Amino acid sequence: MGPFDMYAILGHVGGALINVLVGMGFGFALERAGFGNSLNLSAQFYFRNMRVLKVMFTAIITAMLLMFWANALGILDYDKIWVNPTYMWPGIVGGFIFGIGFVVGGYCPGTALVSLATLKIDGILFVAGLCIGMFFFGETIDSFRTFWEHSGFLGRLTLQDWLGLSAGAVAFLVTLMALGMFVAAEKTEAYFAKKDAEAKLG
Amino acid sequence: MKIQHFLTIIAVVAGAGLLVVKQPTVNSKLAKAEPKLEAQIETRKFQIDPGELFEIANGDAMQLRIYDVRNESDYNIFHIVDSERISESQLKDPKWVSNLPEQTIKVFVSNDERAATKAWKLLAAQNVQNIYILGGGINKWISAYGEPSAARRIKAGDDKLKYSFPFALGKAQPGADPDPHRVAPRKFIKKVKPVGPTVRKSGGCG
Amino acid sequence: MNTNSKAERYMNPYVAGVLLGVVLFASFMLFGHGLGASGGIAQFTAALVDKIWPGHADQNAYLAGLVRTGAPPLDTWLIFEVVGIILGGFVSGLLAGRVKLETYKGPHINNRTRWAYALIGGIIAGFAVRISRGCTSGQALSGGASLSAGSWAFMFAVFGGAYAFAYFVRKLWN
Repeated sequence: MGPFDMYAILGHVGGALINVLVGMGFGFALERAGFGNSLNLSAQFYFRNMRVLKVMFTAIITAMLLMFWANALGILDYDKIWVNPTYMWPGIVGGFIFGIGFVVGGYCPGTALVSLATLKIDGILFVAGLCIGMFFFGETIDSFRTFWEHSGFLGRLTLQDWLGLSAGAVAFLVTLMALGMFVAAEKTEAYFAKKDAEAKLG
Repeated sequence: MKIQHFLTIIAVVAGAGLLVVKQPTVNSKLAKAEPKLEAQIETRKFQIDPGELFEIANGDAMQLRIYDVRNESDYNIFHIVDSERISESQLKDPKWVSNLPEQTIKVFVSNDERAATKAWKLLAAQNVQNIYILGGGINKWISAYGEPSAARRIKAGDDKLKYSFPFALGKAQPGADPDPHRVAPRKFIKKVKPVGPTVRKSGGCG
Repeated sequence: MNTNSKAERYMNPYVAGVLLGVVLFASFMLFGHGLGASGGIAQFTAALVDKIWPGHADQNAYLAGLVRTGAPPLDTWLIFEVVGIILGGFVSGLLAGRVKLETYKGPHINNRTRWAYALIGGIIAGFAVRISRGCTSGQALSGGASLSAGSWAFMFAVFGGAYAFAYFVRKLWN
């Protein structure tokens, strides 16, 4: 029963090789989705092209449904997988600033790597910026370390713990929410496409 | 039919299905694994001799944690030095279990073997590695390392303390912390295996 | 630049999402954790700083933890994953004829402006991603699928920040 640890099973080199393969699947999917192109990503925030939301939430519900079915069938032990520990306030503050960086630079780290891989200069510069930003974080972290390490620290907190619902119920609700968002995204795109077309004619 | 409509149907069916199927709980995992675990218990490959526990505790080849699953009063009367008392509810709490040290030998202790075996099964059902039982329990430990002058043997039922002490001294009780230079070496079959591969806890990109 | 014909060759977003989700699930199955991108970039940064400014990485309160662990900072799963992402992106781009030295930018700005903002955006995101302990891959995708409460909060905060600031940089993109 999973989760397995390829590094423990295949050794360091074998594990690293599988790791590169999984990374390749990730990079391949991102590039296929059009995420090596900052125009596809930034359009999300002007309601012109909601690819970011569609791809991201489809990926989340796909993996989530697979994971909980695998858990129910005894193929994967959900209690053994890494669930990002919750540092509530750093997550929210960092997420908000990250969003600003996203819309200013047009990428996020994973997509910027794919953009770099296909030789987009803006993607390469975004990655360079990431390195500088992380360096700067290290230089300044001591001034807000208490906030970073302690504010809203809740450990392994899942939505089902937090809501007091069963994991299955949460997975179902998340699926419904995502589907609702897709319908809204399609409607929004159609609305703005029509508006833009009218503006061109007008 | 557009592909997204097809995918929507799959997602709704798979999501609704999760409302019906049961996600495993500790109890259901235990019930499912019980026959296999019982067979493993019967091989007696996981019940280690007091001598082996003592050797590991006094060596630096392996990391060791001793978990005492007896009630508080027995624990207060006598417990092996550096052992930690835990309750059954902890053994069923995924949070507590996921915080157990992985590359560490974990030995469960009760007066005889019954409660320790139950603890072992609970953790084995939750995929915890490197777990053992103190064979013969505290009673055998005392018979091996206790001082006859301090402990009086009494009659007691299964998994009850079979020694009576004048005072509840816990780990200060004679025999709880034997001196490795003074005790006579015991003969035993080594059962503890070196810590094997385990799933690493770290992850994410933080 | 003919964006339309290019856009048509991108995969249906829902199909791409399923593909990405399967890869994400495979990562959980094979390694017990999700995907990551920014962590590898942090490791790379630590190795780079250590190389060009010897000794300083140890003074840097965050990077120090990455270079001091004993193993070389480039010998971690995060780096292997980043190598994979770049290779996978390259293969996909090659198959689609999208590997080409160029700059993606909005219609009303020149290349230099775009480059400057790409760098600035990267700096902001790089700083923020260490506050939040993970990016859209490590937090939003991985933590989202494993139903981490903090990751969901992060995800909505990202959209919140981006939508809130989008108005101020609309000239860059439209």
